[in-house]
Amino acid sequence: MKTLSATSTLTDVAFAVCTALDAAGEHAVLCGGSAATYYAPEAYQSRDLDFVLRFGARGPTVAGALRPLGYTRRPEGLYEHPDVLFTVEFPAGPLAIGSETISRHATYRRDDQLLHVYTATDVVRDRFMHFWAWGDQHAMRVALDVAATQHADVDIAAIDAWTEREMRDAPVYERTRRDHFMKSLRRTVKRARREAALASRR
Amino acid sequence: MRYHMKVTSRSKGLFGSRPRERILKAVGLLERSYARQLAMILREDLSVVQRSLDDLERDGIMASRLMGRTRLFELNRTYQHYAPLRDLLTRMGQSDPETVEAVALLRQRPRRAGKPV
Repeated sequence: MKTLSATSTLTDVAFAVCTALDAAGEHAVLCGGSAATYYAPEAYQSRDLDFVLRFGARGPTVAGALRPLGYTRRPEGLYEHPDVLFTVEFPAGPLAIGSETISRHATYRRDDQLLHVYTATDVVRDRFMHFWAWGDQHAMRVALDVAATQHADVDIAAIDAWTEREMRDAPVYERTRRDHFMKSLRRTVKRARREAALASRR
Repeated sequence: MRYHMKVTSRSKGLFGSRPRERILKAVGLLERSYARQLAMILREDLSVVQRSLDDLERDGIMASRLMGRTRLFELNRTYQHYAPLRDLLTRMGQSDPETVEAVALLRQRPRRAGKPV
């Protein structure tokens, strides 16, 4: 088991926590702002890791898995480490963005560790959702930064189709914000892909 | 045969506890509120209201933000079932005379500063 210290990054903690939980039989997926940091650490630094556990996960098992890493549970359900900056939380599931349940996620491996995390497309959707619902400009900026960093993997058509479904099924979010975001997203990804193509020719 | 639903102090309602249900119905009508206001109009203990709001926020159903020194709560707009829940709570609130009466204690429409009563 890898030890965590004051110099551990969010990605180090994410891999360590997910691996420890997996070894204990608990499936946890990194989501929220911490997933954005995983994909675009230069653009956005989250201080807390949000993992959604599979339905039926047992609290004592989770606490037992995190204890050897140095994380202990506070009364409000937050896990803290005496040396590590990052806290760990387990928001209520299921994984969902807007009204859609998320059933697929990415899994990355690093040495003998693993990490289950939202796909890059879902991170963009998730951060955009905060702009769409609350008008949070910072969340939109993060969504675009992740899209620029992960331009090869971001599925713009899927995001567009999802926003259409949301507006049809739950017409509570503003079309103007959605249109503004989709326009910015297309422009951002196009620019990032063009720059990547130019860089590969040099 | 007619059936009557008897609401006792031990009734937990649809949302797990009576205070929780009353708070949600009131927020369904008010859109946003804070613990002290909800405690006042619902005549519940402030600590009970605060605990219920904290639980609802932890469950992702409500969200809060600081406005000055007041923590304003509203339904979480990124909650998966936000739209149907908002509709349900509005209907439940509107059809519950107790909630309508409680919310009616508050003036919701704007009032220009300095305007005489």
